[in-house]
Amino acid sequence: MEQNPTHFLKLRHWLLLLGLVVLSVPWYWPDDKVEPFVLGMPSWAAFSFGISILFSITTALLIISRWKDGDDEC
Amino acid sequence: MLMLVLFCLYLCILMMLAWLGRRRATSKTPHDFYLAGGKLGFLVLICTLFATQYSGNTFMGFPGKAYRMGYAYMMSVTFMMCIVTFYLLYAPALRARAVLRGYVTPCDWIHDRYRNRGLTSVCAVLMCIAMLNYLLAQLLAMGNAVEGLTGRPGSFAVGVLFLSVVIVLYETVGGMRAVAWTDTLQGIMMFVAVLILGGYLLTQHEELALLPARILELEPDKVRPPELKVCVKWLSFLCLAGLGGAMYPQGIQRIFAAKSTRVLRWSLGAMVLLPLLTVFFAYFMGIMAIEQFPGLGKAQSDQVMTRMLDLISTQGPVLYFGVTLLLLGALAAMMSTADSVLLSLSSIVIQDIVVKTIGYSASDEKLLKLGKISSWVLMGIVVVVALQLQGITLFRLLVIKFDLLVQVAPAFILGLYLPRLGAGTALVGIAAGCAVAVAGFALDPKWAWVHPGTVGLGVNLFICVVGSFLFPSESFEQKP
Repeated sequence: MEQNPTHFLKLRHWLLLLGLVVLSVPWYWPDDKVEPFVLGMPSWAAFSFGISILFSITTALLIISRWKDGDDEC
Repeated sequence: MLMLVLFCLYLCILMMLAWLGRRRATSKTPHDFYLAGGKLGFLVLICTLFATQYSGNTFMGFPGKAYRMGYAYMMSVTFMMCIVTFYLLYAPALRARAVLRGYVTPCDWIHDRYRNRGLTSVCAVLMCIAMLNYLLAQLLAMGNAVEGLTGRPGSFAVGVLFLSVVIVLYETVGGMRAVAWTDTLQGIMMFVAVLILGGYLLTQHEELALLPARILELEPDKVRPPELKVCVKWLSFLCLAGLGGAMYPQGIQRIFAAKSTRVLRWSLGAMVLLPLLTVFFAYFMGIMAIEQFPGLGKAQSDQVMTRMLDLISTQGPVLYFGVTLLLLGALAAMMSTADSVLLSLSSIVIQDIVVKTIGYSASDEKLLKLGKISSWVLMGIVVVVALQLQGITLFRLLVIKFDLLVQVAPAFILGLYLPRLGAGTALVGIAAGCAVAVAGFALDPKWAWVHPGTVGLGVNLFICVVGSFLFPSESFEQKP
């Protein structure tokens, strides 16, 4: 199958998104370290939420900026 | 009383929209009935995607799970974003093909790509199992919501029966157009409800600042960072539920139904940001409930949202009105997901199983009639099951569904990337993936670090990739 122009994300974009998802899981956080509390959450949960925000904004920007419109109106 | 008045008004508007949807139908074809003729604009598409993806589980299941799991259920926020990210693996390419070749159901792509009746029917059956499960979860959530609202045990059955009839009625009257338009109303209601919830949480910022310390005293495990096993399961869940969620037929059909690629990409761009508001607030309500209602059992914890709302509504007339709107929004979320699932389910049963698999041939008009009859029959079956299953934990249902549905993903997505992937290899992959998932689920090993469905998906992917090199297909031809 020839390269389809609609596969608009390159490997580096997928790796960036994967990296953010892996970082959103606090596997690297020290045990029992919960303080300081931020926005009603322990520090690790607040950090995880921050990474999730970054992940969603990155994905949205990739969709808007890289996915090109086709002449495909039904 | 206020709730009753608003609810009656809401039902009247739903029926009016369904009638308008019927009047706007341009032809009696499956494409027009199931995809609204591929004419969904930005506002309707974003609302119908939002209302369909955010369901009874979001409003009732997620707070319950956050209550049981604690802060580690932050995974729910990322999981909803992952669904949109996984769409990017196939939506751009598949959308272009769907427009060109007039696909109505997701299995149209499978059928067109592999030309194998067995594979088409297996994928259709797996999708139907997942959707019946999902529909059941919505009905259970509706029953729980009505029971929570009225406080009467018998009201579960009445709520399930009445709301189910309403849903089938407007779904069969107006098809996708009615579903999408009612979803627009429901999506707006849900968004207003979420804003109210967010507004309430902001007013509680001083209390919220002390919340982790209080929960730490009550149940420290719910505040501490999750152990490595939970983190691995977290990643497994993101993979399983994110990819499984991207395989929902009702979501795929909305990709087909978008008016243009421009409309679709702006809608998906907005969708990926929504969990930051919607799921996060639902999650936080579950966390707040840990302090308010300690010691609840599994089934009771599914109702922590309604308990929290009861509590909030006693704090003044403004909050009472806000909670009333929010409860309507929650009911709208359940109904909008149920209607979309039911429409998709009936389209797959008729178009893929009856026509493609069994080989039944009839006019478009007759097939549409059969589709409407199947909607009533399927809803009837699910209602009977729902009435038998009162009290089951909603989240358990959600996970069982994804374990199986995700097994369709390799054949569905790799079909776009691996031209040599054949139907036989894809079928073996699905069979192996399902066998692993079902065996893992039946054994339910407590030591397992990943979900059975994720292991099955790994096996399935391996077979598809290796098999496409060892046993390359010669039947697939490049199509325009």
